[in-house]
Amino acid sequence: MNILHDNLARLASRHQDVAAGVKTATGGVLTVEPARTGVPSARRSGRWIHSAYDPLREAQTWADTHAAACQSGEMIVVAGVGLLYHVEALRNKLPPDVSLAVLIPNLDEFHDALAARSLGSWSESVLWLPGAPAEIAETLTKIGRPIRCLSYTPATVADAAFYRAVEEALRRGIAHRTGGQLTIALVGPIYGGSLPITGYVKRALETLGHKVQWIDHSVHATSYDAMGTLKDQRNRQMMQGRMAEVLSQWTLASLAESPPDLVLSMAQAPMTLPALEHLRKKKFLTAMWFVENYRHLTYWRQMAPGYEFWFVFQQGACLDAFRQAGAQQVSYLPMAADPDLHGPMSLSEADRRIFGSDVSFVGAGYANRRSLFPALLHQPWSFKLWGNEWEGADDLRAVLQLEGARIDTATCMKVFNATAINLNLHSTTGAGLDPQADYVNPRTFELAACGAFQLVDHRSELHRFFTEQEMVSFQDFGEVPGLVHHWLHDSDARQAMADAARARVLSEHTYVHRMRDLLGHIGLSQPDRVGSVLRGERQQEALLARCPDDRPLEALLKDCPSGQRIELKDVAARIRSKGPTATLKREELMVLMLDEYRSETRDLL
Amino acid sequence: MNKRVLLINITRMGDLVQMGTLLQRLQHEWPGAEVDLVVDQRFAPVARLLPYLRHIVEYDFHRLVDESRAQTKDVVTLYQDMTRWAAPLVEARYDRVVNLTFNRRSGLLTSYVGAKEIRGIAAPKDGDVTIFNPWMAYLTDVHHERCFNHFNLVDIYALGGSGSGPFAPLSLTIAPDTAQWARNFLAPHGGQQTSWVAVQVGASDPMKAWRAELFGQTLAALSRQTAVGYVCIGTEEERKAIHLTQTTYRKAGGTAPLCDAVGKTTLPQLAAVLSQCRLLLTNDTGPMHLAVGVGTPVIDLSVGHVDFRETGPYGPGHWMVQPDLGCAPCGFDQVCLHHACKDRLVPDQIAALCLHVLIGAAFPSSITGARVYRSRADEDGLGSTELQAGREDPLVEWYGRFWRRFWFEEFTGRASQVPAHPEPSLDWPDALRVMEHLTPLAKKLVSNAEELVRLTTRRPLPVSALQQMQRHETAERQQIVALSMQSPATASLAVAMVRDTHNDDGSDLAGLAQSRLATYRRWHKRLHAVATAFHAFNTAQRLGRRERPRALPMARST
Repeated sequence: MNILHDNLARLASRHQDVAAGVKTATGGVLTVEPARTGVPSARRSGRWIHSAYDPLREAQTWADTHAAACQSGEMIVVAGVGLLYHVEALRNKLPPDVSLAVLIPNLDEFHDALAARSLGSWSESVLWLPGAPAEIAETLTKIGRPIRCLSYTPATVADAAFYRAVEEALRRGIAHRTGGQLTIALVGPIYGGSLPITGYVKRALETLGHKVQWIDHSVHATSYDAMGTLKDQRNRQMMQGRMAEVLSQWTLASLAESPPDLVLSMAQAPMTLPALEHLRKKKFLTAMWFVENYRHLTYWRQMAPGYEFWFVFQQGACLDAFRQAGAQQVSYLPMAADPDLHGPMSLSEADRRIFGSDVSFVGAGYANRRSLFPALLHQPWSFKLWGNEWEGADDLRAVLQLEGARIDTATCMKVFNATAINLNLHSTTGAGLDPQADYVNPRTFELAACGAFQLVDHRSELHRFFTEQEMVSFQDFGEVPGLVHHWLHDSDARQAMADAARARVLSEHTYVHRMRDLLGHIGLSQPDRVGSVLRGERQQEALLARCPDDRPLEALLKDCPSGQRIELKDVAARIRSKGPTATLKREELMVLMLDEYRSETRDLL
Repeated sequence: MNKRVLLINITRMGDLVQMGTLLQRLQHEWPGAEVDLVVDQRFAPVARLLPYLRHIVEYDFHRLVDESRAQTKDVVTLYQDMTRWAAPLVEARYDRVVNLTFNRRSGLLTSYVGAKEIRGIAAPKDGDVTIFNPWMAYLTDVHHERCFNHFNLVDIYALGGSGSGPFAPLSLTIAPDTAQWARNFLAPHGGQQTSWVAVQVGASDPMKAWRAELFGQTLAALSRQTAVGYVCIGTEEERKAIHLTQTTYRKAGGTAPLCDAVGKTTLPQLAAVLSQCRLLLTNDTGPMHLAVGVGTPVIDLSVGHVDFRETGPYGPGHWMVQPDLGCAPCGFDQVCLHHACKDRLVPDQIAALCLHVLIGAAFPSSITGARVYRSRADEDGLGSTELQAGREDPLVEWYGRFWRRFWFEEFTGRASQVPAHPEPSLDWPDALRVMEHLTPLAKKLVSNAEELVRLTTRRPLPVSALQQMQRHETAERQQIVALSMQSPATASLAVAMVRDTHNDDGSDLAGLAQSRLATYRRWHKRLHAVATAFHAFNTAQRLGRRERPRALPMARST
């Protein structure tokens, strides 16, 4: 009791409201037990939050790992409370000009921590933040320091939703304050479903004002396909593997031409682990948006340690699996639509005749679709099937359009727009509906963005994106004929539902939204790099404010165009633009020297 | 007050060791000189083994590359970090800055620091580089006529950074505790009872690394003939190649003990381990120069783009093997797809050379596919080499010695003691013909340059006449260069002349014209000197007697 009393007194000296809140809390969330070393350790819901052997040493290791990245002037935001060993270790490790805040999702847990061990004077230089996620984010944003988020994972599990909400609020805060243009190298795949998404991502990033260098590997698809004709499987795989290595080197060579702030790869981008490790060694930031079902395509296991940031469209077990495979930071980033491409269309009568029907489906002939779709034949409505890889589906031949040709995006949009009821059945290799129906596919968002009505198989994540007034889903394929019958005869209700879904996509689920989230997340993790650009701290005005006593540097910066991001290369280019006969000042020599070092490329390959 | 000198030698470990002679020469020139060094952080430990250095000013230039390229720091932070670091250098007000790092970035640093006198690359005016000091300029010219170069980098550093003086070998000082560490390191493997041969399989550039499996075969062949032990040295990045050497060695029946020092030593410890060895078999690498510095004989396998005459082991007691292949050594920026030169070196023959160095076995004079040289100090007190096996192109050999004497006398003003060839070169008539064509062109070029100078002094400036004269001058120079490049008797002069034109240091039009005139006059004088030397053979032959080798015309009497 004395420990709690003393701790509350210490806390009240700076955070009276928080101390008052803790007083009214009852505790009982943590089970405190002595560790082998004798100091208290704790469990929550049966899981150890701190080491059962040596919590102090464990906390020190955690602090040592994270403190190195923290920069002067930053606000470090720690997720995970427990018994605060890790907070104490980090506070003691950080210099005073680095601020530290701790998120408190649960005052009962904080109560337990304060009752278990005495807080030292270190706790007085910590900002304790209970409350609603949005309020916390606002408080942190108002402080105005670059924010870096750290997570002490064992203590975050039980309040994962809270921490996620705070992070999302912070992320959006950063994203909406975009002040500078990033240069992003976008590494696309050779072929496949992530290829068009790469295009959408490019457009979204450009819409946000960033500069995108698309390293387009689809130009190599013909060679890759040619290797696919080799009959010997081992030779084929070896050759395709070698080609992936060459393309990986090609990516490095392309990056050397103009080093970006961020290398963003899309799923299936031909990047090898050694190439990624080399990029990391050379301080390039790398991220991957893995827009594939992680259960089906599993090469991420080998690649997991390679990228600094992973973004996946599945949650829960997927995030855990990536972390276990060695991914340092893995975050949820769902699919979306691109309203520039996916939108309502005015179709001619001829187009409506060709592409329209009561019910249609666009997609490849996966096993579950082959087994389920015959039930849609011989119904009192028309049904058209579009897409490729339907070879051998003889019973569906009568409804298969364009002899099973691959459908391009333009045609797809026409079908979506011309169809009364679009069927959206997520693929799976089994016979029925996807037994692990979690993620929501791009088609869901694309159909919605078109203002097209759809029936979609139920997904556990669907409610995150659409309400029941915006999207109709079915749990059993047997429901489909009845649903078609019902909605086909109520075009006004269909239209209302489709309009609502489209409005939802436009306001929340475009690739622009996703890229804003992605950059916000990276900005939070890298406040001194991507974060500082997004906050506008590399704009001319912000840089000038940092060198009031350095006249020569000030003059160089003022010589650059105002209102723009200025980097070393820009100042150097300005100096060089004076021409070959100009006599250089000493500070100009310095800038040119630094720029010569910046221009080095040979160590990248 | 003692003179203050700053050396800038950033990029390579070997280059650091190779400035050992310069450090001694500076003390010879300015006794008690306070010499500071700017060096990359990675190589600072090697710098600490060198004599006569006051301050070693280190910086992590690799980190600077990474941070500036990936923009991890903004321009303000980068600028302020670097100016803070460089401030003491500026404040030191050096009497001389010698930039031994031949790139633009170090030139910009040199000009930023400033000094009463600058030698080497600097960027004083517009960010473009200028080379100060003829020896330093020679170092860039040499790449155009590499096969004729007989100056080791060590001597160019010493002559360019200071001046001529007595022969001064490279030397490194190993601290007693580091030496003891090396003895302890080798003790479990046989210690000083074993005749250790160090082996450096890797290289900073794969182009200059002999094949790992051929190393393995060589070591196996040697182990069958004498009792030795091998110390494998190198970095962890070279582990793959070293592993291949060891595997091949065992498969080829190698029996001697292998001591693995790869990645287990600091650079001073590596130097200490090398000092315990009887021989280093190596590619042209930094450790090769460490071995030279601690007095361990070296066999340098000079493959790829390496030319041992430039960067090989300095001073007596070392051996160099060069493949006998038309394209060897190739250019620095060459990307070679065949590496055929490496297959010219035969493992059994390299093993025989090792045996000769280790136990004085018969010299393998019947070596095929390669030339073997032995290093020495020559009559002028410079590092040199002597062919011991194989055949050198007579024209290359003749011009190599000719230009060695010519440039020494041209730049030092001293008569070279290296004997001149008593006979003219095989292409002597062709060379004379080229020079006869060039002589009137040279006079015209100088005359036009003089007219250009006159025009620049007129007011108002006769712009049209100047432009016309400049066009003439450019056309004439191009004609002269094209003609000069046809003969090895004139090509080197043309290369130096063209490079001099890039060094024009006038601040205005008149100054630039004066500078250009000086360049052409210098070239003309050199051309005249070479022509005189070639005509002397004609006179000697006409007189039917052999004359004593004479100093070239530009040498002052000493």
